[in-house]
Amino acid sequence: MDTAPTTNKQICDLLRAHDPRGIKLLFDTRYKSLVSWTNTFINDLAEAEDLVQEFFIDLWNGNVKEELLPGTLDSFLRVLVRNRAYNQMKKRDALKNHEDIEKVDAIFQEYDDSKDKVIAQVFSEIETFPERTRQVLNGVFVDGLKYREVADRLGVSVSTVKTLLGNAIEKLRERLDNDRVAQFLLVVTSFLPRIHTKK
Amino acid sequence: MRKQTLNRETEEWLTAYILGQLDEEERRKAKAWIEETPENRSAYESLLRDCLRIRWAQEDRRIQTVKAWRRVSAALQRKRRRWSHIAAAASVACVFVLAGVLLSRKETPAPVAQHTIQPIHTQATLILSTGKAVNLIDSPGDIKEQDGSVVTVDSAAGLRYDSLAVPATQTAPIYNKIIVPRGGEYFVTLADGTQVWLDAESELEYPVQFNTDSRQVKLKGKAYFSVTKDERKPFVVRANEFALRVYGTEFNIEARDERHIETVLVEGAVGFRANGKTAEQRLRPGQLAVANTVTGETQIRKVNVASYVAWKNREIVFENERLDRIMDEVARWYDVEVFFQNEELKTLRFDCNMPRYADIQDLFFFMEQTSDARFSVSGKTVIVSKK
Repeated sequence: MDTAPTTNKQICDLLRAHDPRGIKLLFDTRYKSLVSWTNTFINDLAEAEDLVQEFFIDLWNGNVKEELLPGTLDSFLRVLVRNRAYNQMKKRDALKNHEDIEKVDAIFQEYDDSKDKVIAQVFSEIETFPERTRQVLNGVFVDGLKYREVADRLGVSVSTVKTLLGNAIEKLRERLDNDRVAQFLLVVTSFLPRIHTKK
Repeated sequence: MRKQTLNRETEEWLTAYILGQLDEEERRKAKAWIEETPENRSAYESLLRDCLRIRWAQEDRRIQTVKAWRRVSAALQRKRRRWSHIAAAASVACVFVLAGVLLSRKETPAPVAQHTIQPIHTQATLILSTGKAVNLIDSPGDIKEQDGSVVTVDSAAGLRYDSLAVPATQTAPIYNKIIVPRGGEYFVTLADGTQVWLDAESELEYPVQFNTDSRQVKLKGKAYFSVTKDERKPFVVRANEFALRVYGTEFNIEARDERHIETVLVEGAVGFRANGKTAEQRLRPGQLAVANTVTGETQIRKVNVASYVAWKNREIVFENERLDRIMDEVARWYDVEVFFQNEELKTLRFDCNMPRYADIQDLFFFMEQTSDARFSVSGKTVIVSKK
């Protein structure tokens, strides 16, 4: 994260000069993050990917790219893609009840800033779960399915889904929470080397 | 600590709320519960935070940046093609004024690695009927020809021949020739008002006044013609033995290789003969004719005209084109030498769409992003190798 300010400035400068390396750098550093953010509203990963890809194309072809500022780059990008998401939401989102978008935005920003660590924590915990629990988590969190649909897919009852999910969330929360309390105990998570190459 | 404020049942209920699993009535209840006390709200927000983080973290692994970039970078090039239609309508003067703007912009220090390769720019040599050579960039102004015609050289609008107020007597026509080097392009308006865009490494020879019963010009290389209609005086473009008879029209012709002369008709009608022995064949708008002047063989097929005439509209467009063909053009436009380290790289195919005055690195950057090819530039040499 310490390198972020210079990178942001570099990206903004390149984009202002209409240098294609600017859009490439922006894409490499922001694509995943913006897809996750968009999917929070769209709740359809493929659609979220399409939307963010379109966004990058339009950004490159339009004038907005000249107005990006290093300091507000990320919050600005989030607002831009969120507006797009709102405009084309077909499948209603799981979070539609949460009018307090500010809160979700703050949570996302916090996540995005320590993304690698959070991902490592979540996966180090998930690895210990039985296959079935993982399928439930995937179905509910990633595929955005209803409990009923997950139950049907796995051939179990809805209450089993609820129980498995409840246990999993409790464990994951403990992991996320413990780590917050005792950050100095954080061990190097060697099973995710790709993510940890970032300084 | 915060976990203790929720019992398991409440946590499951709130989780279901966050995940959109509740019906309308339950949802209202949950909302009310959250707003009941500040403790409830903070317990809820903490759960929301964790659920979102779990979701985002899981999702992250499914998103494939490399694959996505391949799609985006291809589209980035394709999208710009829309401009070519607008540019086609732009006036001639505009083309060259813009060229000037783009060139002057290049002088501002770019944050890019330095190299000596310049994008294509206006440059040409004019050979007068006396045989005298005039550099058209250094010497703007008017030039007087032997028959009294005035040739106007304008740095923005190119070369212009006006027809004589008093028609020349029926003497033998005198000829001028424009030579455009590699890395250059030029625009000329002939005495009959016909406009010709000349691409890099091309030559056009034409009479200063069209005072005979047909208008005949000779071409080497590539040019786009917008021919002024005159039914009494047909316009003929010759390239070696190849002859194209024009009936007032717009077309693009590439005559670099006598065995492969390409003509694309944009509008109007033309007839062509591959050589003196073959019969004339008609071409319709949207068609490409490929003629071999040596064997007399010809082929006619329908093509996407836009990609053939894009160069004239300040664009570099290739559609599913082989890399060796692309690099042939690149070598001419940027005045560079190209070497392939590996024969098989020549057969790679690309879609490409760039402004014609773009930095050569921009072009290579996009091609590197979408293939295994690497482009190393040193001086005026480009080496294409495998990554």
